[in-house]
Amino acid sequence: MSLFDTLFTLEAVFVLSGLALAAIAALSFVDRANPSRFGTGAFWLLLAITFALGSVLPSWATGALVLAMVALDGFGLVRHGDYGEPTHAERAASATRLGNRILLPVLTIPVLTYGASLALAPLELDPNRVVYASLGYASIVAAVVALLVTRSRPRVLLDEGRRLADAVGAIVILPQLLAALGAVFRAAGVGDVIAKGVAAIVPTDSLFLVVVVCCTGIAAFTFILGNSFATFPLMMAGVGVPMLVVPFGADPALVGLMVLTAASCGTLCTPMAANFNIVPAALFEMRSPYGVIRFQAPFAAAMLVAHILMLWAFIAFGR
Amino acid sequence: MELLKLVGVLIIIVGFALRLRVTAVVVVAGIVTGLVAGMPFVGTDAAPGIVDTLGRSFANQRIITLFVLSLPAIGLSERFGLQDRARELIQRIRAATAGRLQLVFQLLRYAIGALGIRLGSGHVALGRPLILPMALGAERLDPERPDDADAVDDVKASTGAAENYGNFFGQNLFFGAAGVALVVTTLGDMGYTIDPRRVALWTIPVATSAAIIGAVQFWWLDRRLARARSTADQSATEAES
Repeated sequence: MSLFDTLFTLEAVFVLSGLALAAIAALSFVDRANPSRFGTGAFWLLLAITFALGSVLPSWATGALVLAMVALDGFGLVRHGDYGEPTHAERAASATRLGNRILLPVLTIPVLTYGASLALAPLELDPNRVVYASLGYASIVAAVVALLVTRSRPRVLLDEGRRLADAVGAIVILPQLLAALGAVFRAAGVGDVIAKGVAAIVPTDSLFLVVVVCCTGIAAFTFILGNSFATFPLMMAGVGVPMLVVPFGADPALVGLMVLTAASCGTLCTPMAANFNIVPAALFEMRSPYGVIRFQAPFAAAMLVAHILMLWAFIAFGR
Repeated sequence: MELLKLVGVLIIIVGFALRLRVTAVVVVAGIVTGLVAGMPFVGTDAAPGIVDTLGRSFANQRIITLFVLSLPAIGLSERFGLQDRARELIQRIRAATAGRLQLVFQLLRYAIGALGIRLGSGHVALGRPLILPMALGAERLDPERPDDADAVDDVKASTGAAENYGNFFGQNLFFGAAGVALVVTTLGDMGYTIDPRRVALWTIPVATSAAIIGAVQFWWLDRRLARARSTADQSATEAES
């Protein structure tokens, strides 16, 4: 049990990620085809250090490493290299040769992650630990499966990891940076200022107008802060409960859920929610980092209208 | 001066609008906001400063970036034809189009969410390795052909969108989801006792609306792709004659 308690932890998985990132850094340093191999290598090495040692380094040191990574990116020193990619024909030939076996590694990850979550459910561990430790080890099993299926050398595996890491590039740290910005915003009390502003413009006599301002307000508020989990409690305390639940006798479960998903309409439109909107654009190698947001904007607008109409109708006719 | 605290928000909006380097914009916004709020540059345990708050939060949020560990397996599979295989499989289904596939993906994401299955980022686990090559394959689009570039980006965007629609509007169908817990605890703090199953129940009309609006948008995508294809075919025919 003690071995399990040591290895099946977020900490262990962070250290493994740090090692993978360090390997990517080492390969970057020796990639002469990369016009900025030292800058690129340094970026991945610094990220490797924050991953492996993030829990033992003093916070100011991690902060300094983060500033250094941002400086490397700011000066354009994180670039693409050469990954010895096969030609179109070679790839198609191996696809034919391997058939459905080539799907195996990728399917391993969700199947093992879910399987482990189910198997460990009776232990009642912290759910984040179960999901992400499972995900980490499932990724490693998938890498081994990929090596066996393709009969490649480990060097090729790491080069391919580096190819995808470079495709995402320095954007990879943006979600963590934005979470850190959220922490500074919280410490400075930015959310309270905005919530007070929204609460001040709400008319209180018309149910429909309160619903409009509440849904639009949380969407706009979430657009600015990028995280509905940060805006939701402020909006419920400022508007949802005192102006919908109390005066109109609305079902608090209804108001709570609809305000939360109305916030998601803002999430769909904001670069601040980088892990949902900006990282995928980089991962899919799109030309514009805002391509996913542009596609989602009309959907988000329609969903916001749907939220307003549903919340209003369920309160007005549900009494 | 309360409003001065919003200067960071302003920096973000201006920086993103001017397409400056986003990582740098975010850090500058954080530093300026911290200085305006009177935080020291480097603080102590008693009085947190800007750089240590940045570092602490960055370290605490490492799980968002854990997906890097799955990149080698995905990359190696791609090298040996994963995307080619995904294309082939979808091309056997004659009715498959990019839009229809995205709607199926959104509904599949609902099912995953309703069962309480968490996979980390669906963009990494499903979007890039499987859904995207299938959607491109269904439309016979080649990401390396310059003429296809606009349509390819359209399909890429739709793959990201379908994952987000399914994730955001489907996950609370499961009464044990984090969003449901947030609703229950927030209202609990304000003195309301809520049954999480009731919150999950109210998710049904939201998920249904998102499926209908998604279906319309994905149908629209198919129409856009078909139009672009017929224009391309026409100009190709004209070039030959």
